[in-house]
Amino acid sequence: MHPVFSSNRGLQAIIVLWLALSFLLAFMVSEYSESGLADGLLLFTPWYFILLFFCLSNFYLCELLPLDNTRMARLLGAQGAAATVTALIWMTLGYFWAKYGPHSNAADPSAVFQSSMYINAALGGIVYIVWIIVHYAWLNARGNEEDNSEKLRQKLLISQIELQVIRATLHPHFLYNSLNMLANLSLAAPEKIHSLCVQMSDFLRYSVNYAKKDVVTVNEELAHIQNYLNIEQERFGDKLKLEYTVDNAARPEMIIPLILFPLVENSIKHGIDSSLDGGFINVEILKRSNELIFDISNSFDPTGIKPQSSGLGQQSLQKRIAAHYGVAARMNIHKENGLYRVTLSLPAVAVRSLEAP
Amino acid sequence: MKISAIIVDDETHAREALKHLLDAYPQIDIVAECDNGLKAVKAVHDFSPQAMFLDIHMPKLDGFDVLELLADTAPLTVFVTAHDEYAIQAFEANALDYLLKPVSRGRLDKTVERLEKLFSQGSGDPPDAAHLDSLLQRHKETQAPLSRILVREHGDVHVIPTGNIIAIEAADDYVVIHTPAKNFIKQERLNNLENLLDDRLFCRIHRSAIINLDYLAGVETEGKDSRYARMKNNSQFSISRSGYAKLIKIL
Repeated sequence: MHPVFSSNRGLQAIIVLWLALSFLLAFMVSEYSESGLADGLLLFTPWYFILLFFCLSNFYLCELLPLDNTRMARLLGAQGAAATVTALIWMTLGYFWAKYGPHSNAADPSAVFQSSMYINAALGGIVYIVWIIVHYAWLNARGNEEDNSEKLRQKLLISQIELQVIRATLHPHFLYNSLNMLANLSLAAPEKIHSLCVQMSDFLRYSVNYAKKDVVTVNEELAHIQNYLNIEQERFGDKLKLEYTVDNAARPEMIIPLILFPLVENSIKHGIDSSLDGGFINVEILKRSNELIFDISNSFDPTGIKPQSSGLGQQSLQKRIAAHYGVAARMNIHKENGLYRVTLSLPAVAVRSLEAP
Repeated sequence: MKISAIIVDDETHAREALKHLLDAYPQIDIVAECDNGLKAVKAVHDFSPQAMFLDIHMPKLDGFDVLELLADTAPLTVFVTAHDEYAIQAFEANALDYLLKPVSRGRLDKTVERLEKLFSQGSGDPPDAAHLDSLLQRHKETQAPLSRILVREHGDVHVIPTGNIIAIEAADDYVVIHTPAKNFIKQERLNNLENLLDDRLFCRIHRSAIINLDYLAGVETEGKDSRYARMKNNSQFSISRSGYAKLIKIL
């Protein structure tokens, strides 16, 4: 649909404007061809007015042949052919209009038509070309606007997700629990407090500072979750058994930050915290040719109380991974017989291109 | 005068810290420490403490479950929790007390004072039991439908997943819960359970019976208005006229 037809007012404006223009052109051509003014206006005004609709139909051609990815030759050829065909039809219409249309007896309109044929063809061509330019200008402006809003939307989405990640990381429950534990330890085992405080500040520093980075090494991510899990280990004691299997080749690889934390936090919440006898968390990081594989598994008690959780952490993780890696990343979740396992595979090579130049 | 008490918390450090704080009050005598709700129920049965410091957030059985199981045998309870929740404030109004973690010495002073006062008045009765019941019921309604039912037999606790329940029958002021393994007795009203159970799975077929539709084998008619639900383990429960209408609607 031509944008002119999308609003009533726009259409009315164009018609009024075009009527005026047709009238002006008709006046000029009548003067030039020295036909009687009344006959000239009667002949040329409706004819030029009709030209508007030929010109408007050019919009679809412009939409089909976008300026920025059509070869110039093709564009000129197609538009030229369209212009020629349009001119031919329009001239033919004019010929019949002159022959059979209403006119006074004073003049022979067909003779007037013939004498002014070249000037009409030239004027019609110019009008048509002006419309092509108008169409392309309009399409271009619309395209820019769409591009910009799409880019902005994408940017907004990513920063929203990032904010969510930071907020989830600095979850008040974690801070409460940790402060609580420090208060308890100050009475029960004060000698443990110092190293815990060091680990907590490392953990918080990473959450705040590294979340802003575009990429981090797998090793940094690993150190971060180890800090977290060590703090939780103090809380749960022998109820929590930890095991790490890490491929040394994977350590220097780059990934986006804070992808492991939501996974192990989940393991703590659903696996360890809600089970009577505790359980285990295994963290496995492997490198396979072009792939990094993160495998986080934990035991859970199927009959335990379900912890209150919105599942927001994992959802936003999935969104974030999708936004950065697209279809190259996969995340699988298996849950059976008291074992919960998340396998995340990320492309190892493509990730480097994420790094800011 | 000594007040015997138990501490229930799943975190070792938390128990140790609270014990450390309570050591400052010679009138409080800690008789047991429990690291989960099952042990708390057992300890209350074995030691009959006068007071209980109860963590709310624990695996398997939380503080509310423990109170529900103990029902009227529950000692005077002081909730100890990391999170300020409205539910607990409601309990406080019921003369039970609650402490926020980490526990401040000043706040603990007040709690101990309150305990002493209660026991020195010689009453020492757990607060209004009916009120407590309705608070627990309301708390459970927020978690409906139930996924399990807790039953206490003296000091032991049984956790019955609702999928294992064949039927529940009312008898006086308790209910009999039929499962493939054995039958359990629980002090509870059938009406309460009906409200809490998943109504896509359970159907009240009679004033005195709720059945699990998964275990229903057939409906037998004996005479005009006398029908029985035959279950897969061959037990039978009579169906009332309105119960039959309900059953037909669901099936």
